[in-house]
Parts: sequence; structure tokens; C-alpha cells
Amino acid sequence: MTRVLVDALVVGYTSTDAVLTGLDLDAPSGRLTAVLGASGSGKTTLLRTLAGFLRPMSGSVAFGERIVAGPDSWIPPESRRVGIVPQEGALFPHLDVAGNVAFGLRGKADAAARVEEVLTSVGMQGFQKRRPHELSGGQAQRIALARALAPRPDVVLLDEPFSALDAGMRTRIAEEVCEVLAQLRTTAILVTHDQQEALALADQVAFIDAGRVVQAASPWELYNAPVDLATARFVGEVVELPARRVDTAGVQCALGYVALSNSGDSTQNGILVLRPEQIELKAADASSGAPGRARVVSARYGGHDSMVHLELADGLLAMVRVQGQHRYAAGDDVVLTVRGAGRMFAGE
Amino acid sequence: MMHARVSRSLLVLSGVTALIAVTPLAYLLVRVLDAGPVKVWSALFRVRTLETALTSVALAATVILLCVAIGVPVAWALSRVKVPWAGAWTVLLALPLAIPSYVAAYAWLAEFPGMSGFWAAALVLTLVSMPYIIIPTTVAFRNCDAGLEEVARSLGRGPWGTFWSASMPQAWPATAAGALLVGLYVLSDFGAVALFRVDAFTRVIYASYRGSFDRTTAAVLAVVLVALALLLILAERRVRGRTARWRVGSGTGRRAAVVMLTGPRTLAVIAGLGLVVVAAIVIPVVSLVRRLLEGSRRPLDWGELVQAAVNTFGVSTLGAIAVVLLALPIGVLAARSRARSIRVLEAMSYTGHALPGVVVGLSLVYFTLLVLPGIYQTLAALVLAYVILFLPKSIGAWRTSVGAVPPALEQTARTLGRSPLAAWSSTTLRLAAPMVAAGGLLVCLTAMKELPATLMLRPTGFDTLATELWSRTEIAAYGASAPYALALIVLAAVPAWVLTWASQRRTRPALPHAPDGLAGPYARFQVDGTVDL
Repeated sequence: MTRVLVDALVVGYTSTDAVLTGLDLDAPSGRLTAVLGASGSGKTTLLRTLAGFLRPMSGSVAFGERIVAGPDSWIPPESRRVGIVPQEGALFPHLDVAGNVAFGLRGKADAAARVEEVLTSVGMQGFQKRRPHELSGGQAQRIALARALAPRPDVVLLDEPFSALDAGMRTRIAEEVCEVLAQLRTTAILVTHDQQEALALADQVAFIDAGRVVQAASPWELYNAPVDLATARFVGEVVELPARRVDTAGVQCALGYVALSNSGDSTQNGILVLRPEQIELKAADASSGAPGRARVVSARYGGHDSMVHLELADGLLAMVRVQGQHRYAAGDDVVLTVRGAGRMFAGE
Repeated sequence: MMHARVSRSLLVLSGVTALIAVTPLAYLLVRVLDAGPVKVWSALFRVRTLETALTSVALAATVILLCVAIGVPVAWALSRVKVPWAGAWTVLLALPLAIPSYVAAYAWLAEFPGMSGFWAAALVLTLVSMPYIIIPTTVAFRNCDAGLEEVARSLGRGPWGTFWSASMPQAWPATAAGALLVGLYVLSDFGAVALFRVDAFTRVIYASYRGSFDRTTAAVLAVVLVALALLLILAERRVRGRTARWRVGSGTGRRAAVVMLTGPRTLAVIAGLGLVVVAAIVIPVVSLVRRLLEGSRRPLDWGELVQAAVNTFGVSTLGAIAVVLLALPIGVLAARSRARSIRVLEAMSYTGHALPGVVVGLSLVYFTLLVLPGIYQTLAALVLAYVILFLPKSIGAWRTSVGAVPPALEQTARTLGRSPLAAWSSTTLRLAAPMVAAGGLLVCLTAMKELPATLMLRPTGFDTLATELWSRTEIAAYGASAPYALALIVLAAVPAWVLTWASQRRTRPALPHAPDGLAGPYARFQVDGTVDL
């Protein structure tokens, strides 16, 4: 049981511009934490620092009670007890599957038994004699996980391990891998730029931007209660409307009065953020009032749902997700109503 | 698709090329079979033959071991350690590739006239063939997937353990292929072996051709030598084929990081690289310059020197043009089709790759004497030898460059109203031309440096820089040799410079993995698909 605690971590390749600029992260023991960020946000640098391939300029990293990197301590990668699953698996092409999985096992005596055991846990029993080039992308990824798990590491680090897989099997492999990790109650950190993957797989998601964790929360909280506009935009699609505060609990905008879930914020004029599925669409009729009137600009049909792009009365644009059985075409007049509460942020 | 009639005539022309290419080997085999089993048996199992074979194999093995022992650490330092003047080191360490073995041997002899025998030859051959290990291994280390090394570290290996278990296995196929090419170079080498009086195959074959006209012994020795060379080539193909497996998964892995060393360790690395450069470049160059400044007892005959330079340039250019033209049909066909007949013709045309110059020389001497007396000791025979020896380089260039042009371009040109030939020449030929020209230049460069076949086949009184250098060095007239050695280096430097310049201009799209400093020599590995020997 190992909790990963990162404290005020500063990591850089040159002293003047650091990639990680004072990053804090608390990854609970036995859980999967996803580190989500755009490319260049520092997520891979964080992973490499946790593994011990980069030395922090300041700050510290602790695995449970062990300080693995800090002002006075440094544990090299080979002694950290971390398992890494790189992008594309990076299996040793000169070794067969058994050789790859046994690579980190020191006592050779029970190596074969352990290899068998780990292969079984990732659903790849019987593959011992295969060579890496004979495996599909998904199989290679599972072997890479088995190799990382074989020495019973304290922490498993996964570096965008599913990004190279075909869309078709990506979700399935990802779910299987996370299931294995959950069963073994291994502390795992998954780096990804794919917000759907992060939200679907992780117990906790840490959104990082410009070398800092902006928000670390449960997937539900991150999606529904982002702490700022950038986070809201990164973790999902947003409808942004200018809004004016009318009382402590709500704002007035082009769709009428909308309640706020971050009502403690004192911003007077700002941007109201809603998720597209929070807005309900109805065909307009003569009785419809002015607030919420809109015209369909275009509709992108996606089967199970479609995204309808709208122009509101005063030229504002919005998009709404509707279920697939509804049918809208450009030029339709509609009325919008908001379900639930939105979030208000200061403008940019 | 190619017009049926066009491809049929190309096929016929390819057949001609293939026939020319196999002539020397076929002729030697006929000679050997002709002599009858008894004579062959006695030639094969004489003590002398076995001694020769042992000497050649031991020399090749020694040079390979030395090259790997020096080349791998050098490659590691060039690719993974932060050393000052990295670009300069890379170029300096590739430079010996441009020095013919007999020039290097001459330079060492001129400085240390007592040098001779096995170890002298091993030393000089190691110094000139090291780049065959250094260049591919450096590239391999640079392209190592950092992910593998990081996984090895995280699974408990220290830096040394990681090198042996994750880095070296990735570089090994490149190193092994290089080692086999070193072996091929040593087996085929005539100049260094002859100047240091080592009784390896090439020297013994040349001696038996010069001394007696004992055709059977010479032919048997030549066939054994070719068999050994073929063995090395087949092994090299297998090892190289294995490298294809090294990219598991799509896309490129992250490059491994460069190690920063502390001051004293950096100094040690620089000292090591410096030592290699001194032995391989500085000593020969200094020796050459000193001999040049000392001069010789007889004053230099400028007319003779200029004549030799003109001859060298002329006959090499002639050879290159013939090679490029004869390579066209089979290169173009091989680029567009994998039909069995074409594969066979292509393989036949590659025979020269396995033939040491001495063997081609010997075979063509007998062949022209008996079958084509009209061209015996004419320039035609010499050009024929160059064609046979260097066809593989140009076929490779045709094939790769034509293969890289999408057939859709040619088809588009046809739909826009061009005739088949016009469509081909305005698209495929136009796009393939730079690389084909580079292949031709490479042939020209290699032909200028060719010694044994030139020595045996040149018309009486026709001297090239290589033969003039050879005849003066053989009688220990080191001072008189110096201007010829210098002229050879200068003349050969022109195509080498053009090649490097041209390859740097189109390195980016054509060779995605060529690291900057290596563009020149690395391109030479790529242009012909083989290495110039």
C-alpha cells in the first residue's frame, strides 16, 4: 500500500524555464490517478521524474514512507520499485514474452511460476514463447503491464499506454488493464491527454496546466465542478454565455435565469459555463417567450446523439447535445431551457 | 503499369547485364571443372592453400575483433555522451573510409619502413575499416528506443546492466552487419596485404598470376576466396534482415538522452577519441606531408603525374557511365516488380559484390586472352572489370530511387497527354535522377581507388594514380610515391565532396533517421544499399 505524495516539485531541463513549476499531487494508495493535460503541460516530465529519469531542481517525491527524491535524498530508478508501461509497450524485441516478463525478477528459482501467474492475471496465459513482433498492439500492451507488475512494484506508471491502439479495441484494453490494477490494489498513475479516457478509468483525475496541478478531484467533480474556465473547456464541451449576477444563487443570461453551483464566487459580470447536455431543445411556437429563442445553424448527426449548433437572439452561439431520435435541420426555430446549475467564471 | 513490350525489352537488356556480371565467376568455375578433380584436389589440399586460408581467416577475425572493440565504445561516446565538437569527431572518425588501404599502408610504411607481416596488416586494416562499425553503431545507439532503457532501469538494472540488457541488443544487428562488412573488406583487400607481405588469398592469387601461368591453382584459390566472401554476405543479409523487427509497434520511440559526464571523465573520453583519430588520420597524413616536403632523389615528373591523373579520371568516368547505363534496365524492373525472373536476374547482377578485385582481374585476364583476344589489355577490358565490380552500387541506386516514385505520378502524366516514354522521363526519371547520379559518382569514386583489377587489366603503358603509387611503393620509393598519393586523395575528394554536399541537401526527406553530422558517410551506406569496398 503506497501513497504517492509529490510536494512543490520543480523540474526543468534548464534552470531558467522549468517544465514543472511547483507541482503538488496526492495519489491515494491502491487507486488509479489520471494525470490529464495538453501536450507540453508537463505530464510526461512528471512521470519521468516519478520514475527517476529526471532529477527535480527542488521539491520532493515520496512513495509511502520512502522519500525517493528530495533535497537530501535520491533513489535511482532501479531501486524505486516502480513499474512503467510506456507508450507502445516498448517490449524488448530480442526476448520472448516470458523473457520480457521475467526481466525484472531477480530470484530465478520461481521466475517461471511468477511469469505464469502475472500472464494469467492479464489474460495472456500460454503466450510465454511468443516474440513481441508476433503480438497485436493490445496484446503487447498487456504484456508490458505484466512485465511491470511481475516484480510487485509499489507504484505503476502508465505513459499514454492506449494512445497507439485502434479506436475499436482501445476502450476494451483500457478497461481490462484498469481492472487488473484495481484487483491487485496497486497504486497507479496514468498519464493521458484524452479526457474521456481519464474520466472513464480513473478514481481521481489531476488536471495539469503549465507545470502545476490545477484541480485534482473525482471524475464527476472535475466534469461538473471545474475550478476555472480552462479546466472546464479541457475536460468536456462547453456552452459559454455572458452573464450578470442577479442574486447570490444565480445569474441572468440569454437563456433567462440560471442557478449557479459555484455561488460563493463573487464575480458580478462573467461567463456562465454549461455542458451541452444541460440544455433542452423544443420546437418554438407562438406562445414561446423571448428568452431562450434560437435558430438552428447546423446539426452534426452522431447516431446515438447529435450536436446542434444554434444562434441565439442576440447573435450568441451555443451548442446543445440532443438524443439521436430528435431531428433538427438548419433554419428550425427552437426554444432552449436549462436543466440544473451552471458555473460562473470571471471573463478572460 | 508498364507497357508489356517495354518491360519485355527491359528484361532482355537485364539479361545482358546479368550475363556480364556472372562472367568472371562462371569462367573461373569452368576453368576449375575443366582441370579435373585430381588437379583441383591437389591444388585445394596443398599445405600452401590451407595456410593461405588460415591466414586470411585469421586476419579477418583479428581485424573484426579489433574494430568491434574500438568501434563500439567510440560509437557510444559519439551517440550518448555530451562531448565537445561532436560534429567534428563524427566526420573525422568516418574519414578513414575514404582512404584506400594501400594508401594507408604506404603512409605507415613511409614512416616506419620496418613494418611488415600479419600484425602490421591487421593494424592498418583495422584503422581503415573501423568506420564500418562506428557509423552504423552510432546511428543504432542514437535511434535506440529510450523506452526500453527506462523499463530496464525501472526493473532494477543499473547503468551497466541496462547497457548490456537493453541498449547493446538494440545496436547489435547494426554492429554485427558492420563486422561482417569489415570481414568482407579484409578478405578482398589486396593493397595492405601485399605491401606488408602477408600471404593472404589476394596476394597469393596475384603472385601465382604474376609468376607462373598455373591457372588451376589460381582459379581454385579464387573460387575458395569467393566462397568465403559469399558466406559473409549471406550472414550479413540475415543479420540485417533481423533489424526490421526492431520497431515493434507503429510510430517512432523517443530518442535516448545524452549523458552528461563530469570534467575528468569527459577528458578521458576526448583522449580516447583523440587517440583513435591520431592513429587513423593524423599519422598517415603527417607521414604523407613529410614525404612530400622531403621530396625524392629524382625530381618529380609533372607530365607523368598529370597523365596518370587524366587517365584515372577518364577511365573511372567511363566505367561509371557504363555501370549506370547497364544498371538501368534491371534497377527499373526490380523497383516495380518482384517477379521471380527479375529477382534471379537482379541476384546475378549483384555477383560483383562478392568478387574481390583480384578475382575479377584474374578471371578477365584469362577470359579475354582465350575468348575475346580483341579486348585483351585494352581499356574495354578494364571498363568491363569496373562494370562487374560496381554494378551493385548503381542497381541499388536505380532501384531505391525509382521505387520511391509513386507510379501514380507516371499515370497522371499519361492521362495529361504524355507518351509513355515522355511520361516516364518527365516524372520517374526526373525524380530518380539525383540519386542515380549520386550512385554514379560513388562508382566513379570507387573506381579511382581500385587497385588490383586495374593493375592486372590496364593496357601496357597505361598508368593510373593507383598503379603509379603502387609501383613506386613496391620498390620502397616512398618519396616519389607521395605526390601520387596526394593527387589520388585530392581527385577522389571531388566526387566525395559532391556526394556529401548533395546528400546533405536532400537528407531530410530521403533519410529521416540520418543524424546531421553523419549525413555524408551515412548517405553512402544508403545510396547503394551496400557499402563501397
